[in-house]
Amino acid sequence: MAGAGARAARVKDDALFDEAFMAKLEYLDIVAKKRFISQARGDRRSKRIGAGLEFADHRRYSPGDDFKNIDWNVYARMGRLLVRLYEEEEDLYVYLLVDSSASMAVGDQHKFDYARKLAAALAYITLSSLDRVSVLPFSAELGQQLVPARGKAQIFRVFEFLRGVRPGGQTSMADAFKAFVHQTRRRGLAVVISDFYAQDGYEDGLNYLRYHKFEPFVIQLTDDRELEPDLRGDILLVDCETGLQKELTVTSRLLAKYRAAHAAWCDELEAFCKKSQVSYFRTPIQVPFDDLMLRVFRAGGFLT
Amino acid sequence: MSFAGLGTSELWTLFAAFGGAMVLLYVLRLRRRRVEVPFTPLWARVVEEKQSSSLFRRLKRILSLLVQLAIIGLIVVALGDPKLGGLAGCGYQAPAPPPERHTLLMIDASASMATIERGEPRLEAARRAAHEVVDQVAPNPNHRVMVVQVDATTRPLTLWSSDAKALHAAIDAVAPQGALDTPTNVDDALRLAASALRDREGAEAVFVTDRAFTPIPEARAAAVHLRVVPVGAAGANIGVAAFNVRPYLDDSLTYAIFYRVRSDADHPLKATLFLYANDDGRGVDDFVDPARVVGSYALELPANGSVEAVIDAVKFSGSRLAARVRIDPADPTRDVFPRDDVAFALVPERKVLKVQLVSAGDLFLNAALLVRENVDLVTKTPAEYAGPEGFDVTIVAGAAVDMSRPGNYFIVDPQPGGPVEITGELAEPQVARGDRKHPIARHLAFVDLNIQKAAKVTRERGDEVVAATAAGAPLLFTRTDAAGGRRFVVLAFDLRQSLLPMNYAFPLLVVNVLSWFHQESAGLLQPNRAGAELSLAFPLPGRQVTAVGPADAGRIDVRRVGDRVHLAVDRVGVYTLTTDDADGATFPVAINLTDAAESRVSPQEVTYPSWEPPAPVVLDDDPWLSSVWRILLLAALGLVLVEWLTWNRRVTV
Repeated sequence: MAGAGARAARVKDDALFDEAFMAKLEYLDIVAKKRFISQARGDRRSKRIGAGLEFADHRRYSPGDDFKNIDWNVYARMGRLLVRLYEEEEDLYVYLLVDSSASMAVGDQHKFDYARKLAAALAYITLSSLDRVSVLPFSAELGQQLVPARGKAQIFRVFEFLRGVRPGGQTSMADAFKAFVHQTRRRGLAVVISDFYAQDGYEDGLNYLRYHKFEPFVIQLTDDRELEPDLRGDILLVDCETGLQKELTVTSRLLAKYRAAHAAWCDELEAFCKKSQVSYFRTPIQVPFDDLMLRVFRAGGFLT
Repeated sequence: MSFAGLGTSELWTLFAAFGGAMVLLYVLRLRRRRVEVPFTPLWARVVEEKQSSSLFRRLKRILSLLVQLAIIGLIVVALGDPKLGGLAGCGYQAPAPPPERHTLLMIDASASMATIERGEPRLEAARRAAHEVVDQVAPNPNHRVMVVQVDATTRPLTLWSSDAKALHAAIDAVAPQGALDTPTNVDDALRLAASALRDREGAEAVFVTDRAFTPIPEARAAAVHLRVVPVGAAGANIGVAAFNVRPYLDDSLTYAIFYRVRSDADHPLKATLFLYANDDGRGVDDFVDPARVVGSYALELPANGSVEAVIDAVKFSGSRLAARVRIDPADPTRDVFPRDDVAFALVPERKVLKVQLVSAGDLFLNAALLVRENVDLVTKTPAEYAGPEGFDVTIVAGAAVDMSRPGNYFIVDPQPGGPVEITGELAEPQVARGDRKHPIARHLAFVDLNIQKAAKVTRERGDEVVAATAAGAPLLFTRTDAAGGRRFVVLAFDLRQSLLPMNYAFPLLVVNVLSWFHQESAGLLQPNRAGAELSLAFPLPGRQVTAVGPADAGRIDVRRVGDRVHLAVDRVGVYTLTTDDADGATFPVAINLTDAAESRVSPQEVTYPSWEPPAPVVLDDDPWLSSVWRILLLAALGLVLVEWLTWNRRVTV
C-alpha cells in the first residue's frame, strides 16, 4: 500500500510540470519582459556601494581613497572633502522559501502543489532575467536547498528539485528563517510561499529576514475548502501538524465565526506585512497560478 | 389506571431494557467523528468564544435524550394497554373489561363426518356450527379461541386468538378436501385440550362432532369442561366391517373370501356384495367398474346387526380386490354413509417351494408333501444328500446328515450327532402341553397320537416348544440359529412309531411347518386402517421409501426404520411403496376404514353437556378513550417526528 502511494505521488509530481505548465511559463515570461523587466544584464541596483555608474551618496574622504572619486564641486562650495559613492550593479539573488509543512498538504488538491507551481514559475521568470534563484523548502527547519543557479536552462533542475520535495512536519518560520539568514551570505529577495499556519507565529520569521537585509516577499496561500468545511455535528478536530485534538460541535453559526476568525487572521498577516513594508499577496489555490503571477507583476516589487 | 396487556413488572422491565439500550446508544452516538484540519488554533479562537454557550449545548443534548426516553416510555406503557378507571370531570366512566375466556374449538373431521345428510356432508354442518360459535364469542375481545381439527390426529389450526376473521378462515381450512377416512382419536384430542386449557381463565373445550366414537368417560369430559355441539341425525348405514382374502393351504389358484357386513338400519335390508379385482387399482374408482366384477353375492342384513361369511373357492386373476356393498335398489332405504361401503384387500402372492426330503424312504412325509400343489419335492437318500443349498426347506427324516450349513431344516426323528442333542428316549410320551397359538399348531389338535417312543432332546435358550409332554420334554419345537443362518423345526419321534400320519392333522402340520419357514401367513390378513401409524415388514432394499396412493390421497407419511416401514395415511385405498433400489419392484398395502365406531353414524345415546353461548358483554362505546394505547402511540409518533426534525435541523445536535 505504501509503495502504491509513493508511486501515485510520483506520477502526480511528474504531471506537475507538464507541457501545458511550460507553455504558461513562456507566456508569463513574455508578459513579464514586455511590461516589467529590462532586458539588460545586471540591470537591478543592489544595495551595495561599489563601482557602478549610478550615484548613490557621499562620504567623508579617508586616506587611501581614490582621488578621482573626490567631488571637487562640493569641495569648492563647502570646503569639505567628500568622496562620491556609486551603487554597485550586481546579479539579484532570489530565494524561494516554500512551505513544505503538513498543513500545506491537507486535502486532495492541496496547497503544496500550488506552491510548487508558483515557485517554479517565479524561478523561471527569475532565471529568464539572468538572475540567480535558489529554492528552499522549509517546515520546522530548513530543508535541503537548491543552490543558487543562473541561466534559463537551470529551470529543469528547479523542476526536478521541486518534484523531489515531500510535505510533512510542523511549521516554524522563526527556526527555519533563522537558519536561512545565518547560512546565506548573499542577500536578496526572499519570497515566502506559505499558508502561514505556524503554531509559533510568523512575525519572528519574517523579522529575521528583514533584520538581516533580505527583502521579504510574502505570498499567502489559502484554500476555500478550509473556509467552508463540510462539517456538522459533534466532531473531533485533529491538527495535522501537531496532532492536537479538540472536541467541537459544529453548527452553521460556529462555521460563520470560523470564517470571520480566518479572515481576521489573514488581515492580521497583511497588516503586519504592510507595517513592515513587506510585499504581500494572498490567493486561494482555487485561482490559477498564472493569474496570481500577473497580479504580482502588476503590483510590482518582484524583479523590478 | 389498570393494565389489560402486559403487567406492571413486565412494563418496568421493558422500559429498563430499552431505556438502558437507548442511553447506551446515545453515549455511542456522542463518539465524535475524527476530522483532520490544517490549523487548530483558528478553531480554538472560535471555541473560546463559545464557552459561554456550552452549558446550553449540553442541556440540548440532555433534552434530546429525554425526548427519546419519553418515546420509549410511551410505547412501553402502550404495550400495557392501560385502562382508565374513570375520567373525573369528563363524565366518562369506562365499563369493566369483559371477562377473559378461552375456548378450544375442536371440529370433528373423522370419517363419519362424511355422512350425507340433507344433501351435504356432516362436516359442512359442523363448519357452520363452528362459525356460529366464533360469532357468538367474537364480541368479547378477551374471549380467545383456538381452532383444532380432530381426526386420527389432533391438529391445532390457530393459536389462541380473538381475531374472528382468522378463526373463520381456520374453520374453513378444516379438512378442505372433505372428511378424512380415519377414526376419531378422542384420547389425543382430550390430551391436547387438557394441555392447552391448563391455567387458562374461563377455559372450556367445545367439540363440534357427530359423536361417532367410543363414549368419553364423564370425569375426562369434566376435566376439560367439555361442551359438545352435536351435529348429525339418525340414518341407515350399511358397510363392510371386515374383508379378507385367505389363501387355501393346498390350493394356490383359488381363495377364500371372508367378509362381514353390518347394518345400522332399524329394519332388515337386502343388499348385494360385489367383488372387484384389479392388478393396479388404488382408489374406489379404479375398482368399481362392471368389467372388473369377479363376483356378486346377495345378503340379508338384519336390523342393527351384521352378517359374515366365507366365500369359498373364488377364482379370479388380479392381485388386488375390492368389496362393495349396496342396498338393493328396490329398497327405499338410503345409505347415508357410503365411505364404509368399500373395503380393499391384497391377494397374497404364492410361490412354488423347493423341498428336498432326505430319508431312507418315508412314504408318510412323501405323501403329505405331494398333497400340496405348490411344493416342488425332491427325495434323496442320506447318501445322495449334498446340502441345503438350492432348496427352500430340507426335511431330514430319521437320517444323520450334515446340517451345519445355513438353511431351513425340518428334522423328523432326530439322530445322534445332529444339531439336536439327544440325551435319551421317552417311552410312550403323550402331548400334554403345547402352544396352540404357535403358527405351526394352527388348526391342529395333538390328540390320539399314540407315540410309541420319542427322542429325549435337550432344550436350548430360544427354543419355542409347540408340543411337549407333561414333564416338559419337547416333542415338537422350533429353534433358530441366527448366527449360523439355520432354522429348525424338530419332531422328536419317528412318524412310523406313532399314529400321527393317520391323523387328519398331519398334512396340515407339514403345511404349517413349510409356511413357518417362509413366514407366510396362512391365516386372515390383518386390516390396515387409515389414520393409524402402521409398521409393516418391508422386503425391498433401499433407504428412501416413497408411497403412491389413490388420486384423493391427502397426507402420506412414510419412512423406513430398519427392515420395516412406518406408514400413516388419511384415505382408504391401495398404496404402493417402493424404493430407488428396488428395480421397479413395489410393495402394495391395502388401507381400509373398517371402524365400527365410525360406521355407527346415528347419534349415541350418551349425552354430553351442551355448549351455551356466553352472556353478552358490554363494551366501551368510545374506543378511543378506552384504547389509551392508541393515544400513547400517537404521542410517541409525534415525539419521534419532533426529534427527527430537531436532529436534522441541528437543533438538538
